[in-house]
Amino acid sequence: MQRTLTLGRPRRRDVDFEAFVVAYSTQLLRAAKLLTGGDHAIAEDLLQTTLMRTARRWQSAKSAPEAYARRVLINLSRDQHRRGQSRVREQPFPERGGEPVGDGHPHADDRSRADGRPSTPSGAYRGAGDDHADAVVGRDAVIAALAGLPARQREVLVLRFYADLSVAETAFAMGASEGTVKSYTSRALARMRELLADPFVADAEPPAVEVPK
Amino acid sequence: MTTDEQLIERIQSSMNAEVAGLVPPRELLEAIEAPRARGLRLPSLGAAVAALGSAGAVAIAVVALAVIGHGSSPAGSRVSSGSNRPSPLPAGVAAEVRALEAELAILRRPQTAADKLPKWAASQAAIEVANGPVGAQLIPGLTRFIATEPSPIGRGVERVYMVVEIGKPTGPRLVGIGKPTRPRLVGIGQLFAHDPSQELHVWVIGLTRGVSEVVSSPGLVPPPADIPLSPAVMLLDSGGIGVVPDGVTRVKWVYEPWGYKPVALYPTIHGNVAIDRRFPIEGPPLLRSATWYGAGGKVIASYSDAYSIDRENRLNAVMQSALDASYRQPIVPSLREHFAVARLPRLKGWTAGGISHNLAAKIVERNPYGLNVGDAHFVPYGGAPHIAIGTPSGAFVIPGSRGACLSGSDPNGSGLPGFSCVRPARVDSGSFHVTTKRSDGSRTIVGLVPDGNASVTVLVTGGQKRTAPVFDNVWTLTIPTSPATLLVKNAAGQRVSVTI
Repeated sequence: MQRTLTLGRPRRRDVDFEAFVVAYSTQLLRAAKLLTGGDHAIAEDLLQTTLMRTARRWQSAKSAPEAYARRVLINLSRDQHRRGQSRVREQPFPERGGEPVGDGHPHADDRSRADGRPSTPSGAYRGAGDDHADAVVGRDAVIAALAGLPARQREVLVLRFYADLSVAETAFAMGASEGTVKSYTSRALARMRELLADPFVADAEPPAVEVPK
Repeated sequence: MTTDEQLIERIQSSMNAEVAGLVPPRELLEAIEAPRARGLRLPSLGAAVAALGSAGAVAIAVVALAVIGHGSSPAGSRVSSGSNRPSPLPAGVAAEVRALEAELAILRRPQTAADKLPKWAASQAAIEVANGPVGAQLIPGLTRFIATEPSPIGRGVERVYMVVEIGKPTGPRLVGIGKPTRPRLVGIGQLFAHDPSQELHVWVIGLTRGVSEVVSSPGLVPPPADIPLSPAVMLLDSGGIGVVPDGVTRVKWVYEPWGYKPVALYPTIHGNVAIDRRFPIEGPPLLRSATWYGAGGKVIASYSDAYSIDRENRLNAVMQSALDASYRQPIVPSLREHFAVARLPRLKGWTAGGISHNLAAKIVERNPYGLNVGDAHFVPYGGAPHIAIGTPSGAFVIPGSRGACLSGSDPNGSGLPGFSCVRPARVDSGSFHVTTKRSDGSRTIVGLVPDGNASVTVLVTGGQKRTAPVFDNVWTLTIPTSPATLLVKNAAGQRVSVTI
């Protein structure tokens, strides 16, 4: 009888963890991809490490595993960001520039950059119409802009507007105060607005001033 | 000026779309050891998940969600939905609801107790739908039970519901048979119930002139990237579901799995939903055509992927036309005269200096600067050779008849490429540059200067002087974010300074 109990308890815990993984691994992976600026391979690495760390600390994490895992993920993404410069990024084999293009597929542009996003920036081509290609290009501009944000600002946008967390939940996940989260949110939105500005109106820089010889 | 709400909405929808369909690979989950307890080694998560999948405790349900687009201001008009509980609907949506009811008999009958989603599923559906590609709001009074189906995993059953929601469509335009009218959007979701947690995935399809077309499928089984989204039927992990209007008595779906001959399936119609949980073979199927038949075998509507192909061809033709017009644009003489990069010969075999056709077509779609993408050139930083391992960092220079564009990426690979277009006078001034900010707070400047500048000088805060070499008129330098002064020669050979 005692043996039955011994076997039953860990099995229950196991099932709890599995239920957590089934329920949240997709969300975590998606958030990880956004946090890493769209790098699918790194996102999968982060998810795996997040789940392993959560499993190791399951006893303390199980009361709020989602929040725990989110915080682990944020910390890991920061570590990854710090190491970012030294990491060798996986890149697809470069396409030839003369490859016939215009195949009509909405993702055909993706060939132009190793990370799968168009090689020109910002919201340059957004809003030209409601065509699928426009939508894809516009979306890529937003994701590219997101990737260009400082890490904390990107985190706050992903947590607040993708994971749909409250300010308090975001603050917990980031290990920051609520005021800091609000401040990051404001700055991140301002920066996104700047990055997504239409370059065709960028001709307003100060004119050159001649220097007397 | 975009409001914060519009910006947030754009960011949200882009983030949702970016990660839609992304699911963890099974191998990744299988590699994770479930928590151990008291020294007892438990099976890996993957094995345990597989065990769960075959256990009777796991219930799987499928929910069909109908989405009505064109949501507007939340006024308080009420519409009788045919249910016992009229739901308050935003103004402007009532007509859409009535139109949907006119086409779908199942929505015209009163709602029964069996039609209501389980409480947990209703809350999950509301969340999922609100976060979905349409960002819609559920209308509980229009939920309808459709059918009970055997579970594809072989044990248990699935329950299929149709639910109506209101929302603002953010997806791409739909083109069905006939004119590309603004369609009503119909969402279909697949609900997986794992006690005690649940998951819901929502697909969105459109109902245009009686033909439904999948808009996005952020669920578990995203369509392969290289095939168009299948119309008329939503492909689940083990079959298809489609919404059909009144009068359809028989439906035919023709699949052409890769490497196999086409296979026709005739799904069962439950009310206004056609369901067939069989695929002809394992693997991603490609729906070649769908046909709806009415009484007496009369064809009500049909879809063929030829329509998609035709649409792609038309799009390609428009893009090619824009490119052709761009190739004919003359380059403004001052650019040719003062910029060696504008005198470089076109690269044979390279399109638009390496820019993809699609992107090039986008650049010249409206073309206010009269750009000639055929004369675009990619200038690697530091004069590196064009042939390099991996993707060399550099700048695109695109000259035109009414200006020029410059796109420069960060040579260290971080941050966004900068992109800007200016008029010829500004190009001639030598001050044309783009900026990319880096995560460490510094910024990378990429500039275009006239011939005669072997290098440029930048004075940063504190009087520090930085010099950058110029190759093919392009220079780049990483400096602090504080204001700096650029010293260059303009096209007339005069030394000028400009704050950057």
